[in-house]
Amino acid sequence: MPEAVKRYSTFADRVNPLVKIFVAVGLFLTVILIHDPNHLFHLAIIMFILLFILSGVKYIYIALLTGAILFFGFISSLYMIFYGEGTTTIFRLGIIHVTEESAVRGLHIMMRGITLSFFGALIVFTTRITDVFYSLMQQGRLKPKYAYSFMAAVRMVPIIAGEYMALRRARKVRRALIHRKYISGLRGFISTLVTLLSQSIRRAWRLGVAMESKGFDDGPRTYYHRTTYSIHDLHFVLLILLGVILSAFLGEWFSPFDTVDAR
Amino acid sequence: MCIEVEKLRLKFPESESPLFTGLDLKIGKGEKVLIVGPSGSGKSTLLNVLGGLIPDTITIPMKADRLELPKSSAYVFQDPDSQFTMPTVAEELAFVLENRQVAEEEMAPLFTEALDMVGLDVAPERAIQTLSGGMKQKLAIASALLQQADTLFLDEPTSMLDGKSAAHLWDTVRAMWDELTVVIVEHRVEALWHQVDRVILMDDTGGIACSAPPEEMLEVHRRLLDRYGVWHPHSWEAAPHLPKIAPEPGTMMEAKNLSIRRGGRPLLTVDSLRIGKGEWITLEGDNGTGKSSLLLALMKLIPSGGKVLFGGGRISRTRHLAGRVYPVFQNPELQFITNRVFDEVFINLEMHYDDRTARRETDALLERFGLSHVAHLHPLEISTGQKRRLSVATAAGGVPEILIFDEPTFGLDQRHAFGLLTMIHDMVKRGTSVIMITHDAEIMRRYPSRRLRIEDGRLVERGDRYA
Repeated sequence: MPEAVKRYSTFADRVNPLVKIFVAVGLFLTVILIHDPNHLFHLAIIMFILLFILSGVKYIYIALLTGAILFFGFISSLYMIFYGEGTTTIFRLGIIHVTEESAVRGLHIMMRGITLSFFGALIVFTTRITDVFYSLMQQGRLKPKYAYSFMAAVRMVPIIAGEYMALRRARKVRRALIHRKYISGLRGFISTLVTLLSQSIRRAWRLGVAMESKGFDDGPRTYYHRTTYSIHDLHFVLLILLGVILSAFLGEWFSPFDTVDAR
Repeated sequence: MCIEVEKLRLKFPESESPLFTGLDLKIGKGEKVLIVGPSGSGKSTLLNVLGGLIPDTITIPMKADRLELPKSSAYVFQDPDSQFTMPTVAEELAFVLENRQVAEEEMAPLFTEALDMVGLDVAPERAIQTLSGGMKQKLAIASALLQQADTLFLDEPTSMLDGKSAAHLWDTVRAMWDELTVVIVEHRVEALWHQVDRVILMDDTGGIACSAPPEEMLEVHRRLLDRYGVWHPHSWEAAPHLPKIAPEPGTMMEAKNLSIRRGGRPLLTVDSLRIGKGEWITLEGDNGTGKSSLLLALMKLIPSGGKVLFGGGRISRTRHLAGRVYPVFQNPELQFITNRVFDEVFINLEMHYDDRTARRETDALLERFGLSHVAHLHPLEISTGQKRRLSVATAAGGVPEILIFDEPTFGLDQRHAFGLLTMIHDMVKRGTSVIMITHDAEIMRRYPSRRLRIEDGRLVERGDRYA
């Protein structure tokens, strides 16, 4: 993550990226198996607190991100809320039929989404992309040729974005001189795609040649960033585990929803 | 001998005739050699053969009766953006050391040493993306040093740098090349010519036309250099004499109190800029001072404060002046939208003529731009010089009143550069106004009716104004 958005670093920055990925998979399965909305309600709050404390990101970015996560979470739950089945009607207008059951189910889905989003954001804010690949090579036995190709590809993204902006400007200027059909719709889309792809493919090819000219091959190598498993990894796993268990207890103690099964 | 090649034969699978049909070349240990030649003469290909990239990395069929190549070689390539793998300076340098299996704890001191040697004073954790072009090329040299190669191949390393950075880069290379064999392919040779031991001139049939020490090359073989359209320190003596043209009365475009910001900070302010009809204006300034941004702001392609007036009216959007003011960007490829050189011009003209006339006019225009023989090719397939000319041709039909160029002679050989300048002169003569960003002191001195320069975030007028 760019250093510009960070205020401080925590132990979460030093957790092995692979461990984070495994925890993420574990959390995903757990969240899917939680059917008690009260439990999930507290888990979402705990994940937000972890993001707030452990990410070390400036408040403004956390605020913006939280706003976006809540907004999209709510939008995605609307389908379930409006059209889901249920017996206790709260509101009905044409094809929209909100029932108590569908509202709970919708909110349940929203909480699943935001729980995982908060945790995902924590991982993104505390992991450098290069560390992911270094870790995949050292602990995950990924072949260097794949790892370095991906790291090189990541470097290309801002370059391609800049190129796209330049392309749009060039088109804006040419637009006045030619028929619309060449520049808008499918034809315009295809020519944009062909141009950008051809630039990228040639750049990738040149980069490949440059990498090999620097002595890169798939053989044995040393690593500048040594990634290992550490005590931080254990702390991180335990922390998330604790969060899941704690949220279950909190769900019994304070239950905003009447039901314990959203299905 | 460090490099010895006898009877090299090489053919690109997709081309009809072979590139090399028996090329001989010898380069001594520790020798510094400059290879020049017209575009398409195979300079870069030869460099790739000498460094062993062909046929190992780049699979192109080749044969030679004798091929003795350096044991270890390192490259610096033309495009700074496509030779780095990693996001930061330290990681990029580490990449080379990892390949050599240097132990992790020995790496950091080696970085510092290499960065010191090339005079690149940046923190190792700095993102490569934030470096200037010149700094990136120094980093490429540092990484070549870490390869501990005995031979260094440089493939047009300064072609994307401004004059100052280019001269600086050659100083850096010279400071460290004593022990090395160095082979350089380069267009822009003023700062380099007299530093090398030998200059090799390639001809346009894949052979070596001439090989001599730099002084002898200039004294004895200068006509040969000019014939192949190759830049040399005295190239400009043969430049076209284009009489300066007096601008016509009348204002085409005006900018008042223009202010441009970059990354939240003020980059450039222009109190007042007036562009008259038939003026040829050059715009100079160091890299990163906002020359391109100024041109984009005049076109309303980026946001800016202040007023832009065109034809007496205030301009608030690009489409109000698109077509009448036409920019040719640095990367011409982004301006192409069709699959054929012919169509690229034809779609402009079909707006103004019936089909038959449009075809005839297109042919005539391509002829004038020297593109007839490539009319059937894809616009991305043709050479850099041809692309640049084609991108000027894409302004056709609208008869632009103002043409804007961002470094039009970049990467062109002498012949094409002079051709393009003559073409621009023709357009100015017909009343088109031209604004052109350039780093070339000779162009600034010879052709424009007026010179502008960006200094300390302000646009200032330089002397030499046409009376």
